[in-house]
Amino acid sequence: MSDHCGPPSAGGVALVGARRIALVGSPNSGKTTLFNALTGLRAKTGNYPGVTVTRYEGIAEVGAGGQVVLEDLPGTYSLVAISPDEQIVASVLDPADEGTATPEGLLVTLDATTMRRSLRLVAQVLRRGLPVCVVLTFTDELTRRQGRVDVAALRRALGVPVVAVVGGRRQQLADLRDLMADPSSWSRPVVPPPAEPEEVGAWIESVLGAAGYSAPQIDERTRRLDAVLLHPVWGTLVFFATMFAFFQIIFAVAAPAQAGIESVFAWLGDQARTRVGIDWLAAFIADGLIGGVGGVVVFLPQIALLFVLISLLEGIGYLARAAFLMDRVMARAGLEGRAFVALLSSFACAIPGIMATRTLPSTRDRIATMLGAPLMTCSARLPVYVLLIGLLVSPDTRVGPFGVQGLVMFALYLVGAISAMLTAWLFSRIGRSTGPALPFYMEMPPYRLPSLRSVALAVWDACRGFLSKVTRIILGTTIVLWLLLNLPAPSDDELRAAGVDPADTTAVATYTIDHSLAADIGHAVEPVFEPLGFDWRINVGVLASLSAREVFVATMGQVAAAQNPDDPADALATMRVQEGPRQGELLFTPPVLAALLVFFLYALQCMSTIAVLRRESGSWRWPVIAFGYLFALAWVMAALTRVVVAAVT
Amino acid sequence: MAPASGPVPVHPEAVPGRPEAVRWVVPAGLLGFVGEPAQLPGPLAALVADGPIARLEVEPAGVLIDLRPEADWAQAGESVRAALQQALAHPEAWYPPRDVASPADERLAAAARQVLAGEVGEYARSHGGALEVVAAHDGVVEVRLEGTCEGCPAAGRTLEERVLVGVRRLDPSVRSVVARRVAPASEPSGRRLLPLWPRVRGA
Repeated sequence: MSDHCGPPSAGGVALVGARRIALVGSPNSGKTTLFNALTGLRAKTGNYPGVTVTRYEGIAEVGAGGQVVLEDLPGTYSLVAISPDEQIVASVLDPADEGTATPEGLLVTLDATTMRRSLRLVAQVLRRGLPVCVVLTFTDELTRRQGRVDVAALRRALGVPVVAVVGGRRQQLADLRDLMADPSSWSRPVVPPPAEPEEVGAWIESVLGAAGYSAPQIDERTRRLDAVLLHPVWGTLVFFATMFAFFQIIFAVAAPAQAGIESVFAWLGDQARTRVGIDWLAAFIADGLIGGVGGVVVFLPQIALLFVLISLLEGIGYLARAAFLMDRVMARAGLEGRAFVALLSSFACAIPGIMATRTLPSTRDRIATMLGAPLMTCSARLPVYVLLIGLLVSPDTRVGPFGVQGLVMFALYLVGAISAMLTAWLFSRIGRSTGPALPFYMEMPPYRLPSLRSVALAVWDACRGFLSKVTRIILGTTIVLWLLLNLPAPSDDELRAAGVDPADTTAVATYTIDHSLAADIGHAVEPVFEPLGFDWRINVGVLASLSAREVFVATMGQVAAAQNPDDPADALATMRVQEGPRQGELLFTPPVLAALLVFFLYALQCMSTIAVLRRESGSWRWPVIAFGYLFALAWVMAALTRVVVAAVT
Repeated sequence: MAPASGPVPVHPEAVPGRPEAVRWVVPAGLLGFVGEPAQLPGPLAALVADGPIARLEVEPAGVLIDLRPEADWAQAGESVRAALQQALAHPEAWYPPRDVASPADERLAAAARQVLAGEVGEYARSHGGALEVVAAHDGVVEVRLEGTCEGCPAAGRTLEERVLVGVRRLDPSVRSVVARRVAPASEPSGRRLLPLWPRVRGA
């Protein structure tokens, strides 16, 4: 334990001479809430040496004015290491493991509403011989649902300190902080719990009996609602109706806010053009920065709304039910429940989804799920979809009471989800070996009103993440693109030779872009995208969107702003093909738009996802395979879509 | 309760101030007696005869085991647990101490005494009263009420709610807990419940 003041890995909190205490617990046992309450959210993150499981550490104030380093270990149901997460917990708790510093004490969170199951982990932890303090969580919910537990009797039965802490209440935390000052003083069990699973079950039975435990009742309201919502037929219908309404709302509600932001950026662009004296700088600010980055920021209302709706559904307790429903379908296809949860996380962004595959015990299933995750419609696709759907369908088109824009969006999400599951299933089939059947627990929380704070927090996180992506990746790519689109700058002689009046700024801008470096690149890849109906401008957008999907919107915004600074949206809608057999026709015809939408649905255009795939799979093999097969799939599906849409319109 | 086929639910608890002793909490009513068994099932008997166990006493819903001074629980714990777990699977092979007329009544009395020595007795004492087990037979526990309990109108409820429930957790064979009234020496036969209230006869 000579290195307990600073672990060898990056991200360790260096606090000389401080004690280390680790937090162990099942997922959803209130572990992270406790960690945040004890450390005041001052967490440092890093990685465990050799693997990529994120390590969370923070400094907690404890009794008598001391401080300890608190380490939040990954949530685990068992110390029998199967998944990478569980291996980390097992090795941290193993004093013989040299790679990780063994903590001096362990706080184990125990969900009072699921004690019969959760005590299994406690039994395994107690056998490790380290000082243990059990933190009993959710006792308020236990009481509300007519359950009961005698904390003093539980303390006697377990032989270790037991503290009930509800949602980080001050007084209860103060008791815990006092205890944390000296783990060596904690009482230890006279005889540790048994190891053999059947005997552990008997031990748990006996401990719960001694503690006068009665399990919480299932809420009557919850039971009745679940009878419908978890029903294989009605539940599925309700699920699809909910998702359907979801996308209708995204279009109907976000539109006014979006128009507002658009007019602010239009005004800013005008200001830049009139106030900035230097021509090229004015053009850079108005067309490059405001036309490009602003074009992406307009979609902030949609992103915010998407996360308001997701966190509302999650807070109410519906998302867990939806996962359960879908799990039944997936199980029939031979996919694990954990895989579905990982895919569900990809709904917001593929990266957390890929990280969530760490809970999968089988490497094959893990890779299969990782390859499917990028197909789930992430929030980065939202701006692209909204822009293209806006060009494809007028907002006034309705089928009965429903807006067609929302319908198309719903269909895109649906196709994305189905493709993701099919992909995961397909890859898990290839050379499948049957591993052990492992228990999978899905928490079914009671229905409750979501807390405003957690909804606000989720939305704030998402918006901040979006804006930071805009300022980092998208801004950088946009500047590079602006340079590519505006270089080389033509001389006046060249313009006159081409029949362009050097005084006509719009004509000059159009000429410049058409003869820019970017145009050369766009033309160079034309043979690849020609069958999809993409011209060089779309090609540049597609290539640029390899950095991040939203960049496509920024690129189109720049091109359009250069052509018609006053109304870029109109410029986009009336953009015409410049050469070839379709010369003079509208560029964005329904077949081309549909092909573009489908291309974006399948293609893996996200550097961050590729980087995470590389990190999580440990080699370049899988990211390369993922990129290759998704590109091929995107191309084939887009070409098919173009043919089909052209045939029906 | 665990299904008949699985292991018997059991867990160890420390005995405050006595590091050599561990109370193994076992299901109430499993063993039909209290005290030092006259005979134990094989593996457990071996640990007593020439193993680390110095003394073994059956309690209501518990088995109290003391180790020899040279042994300690960190070492002997696993083997004692294994032997006990095996032995508890055959409660019929545990023999009550000799010279006990009715092991069941003894067990009931012990359960009642344990309850009164614990929180329930503490509750009565906090009210200035005292409860004492007089007798136990055929599922009926007789308790003597003393101090403020004697004649207290809430005594019936205390016996019913606290004592009976407590005893049942240790010995499920209990049917009722009744108050054995001690003939009052000097008190008048009526008693004031509250000074302002009229006297109640035969309260």
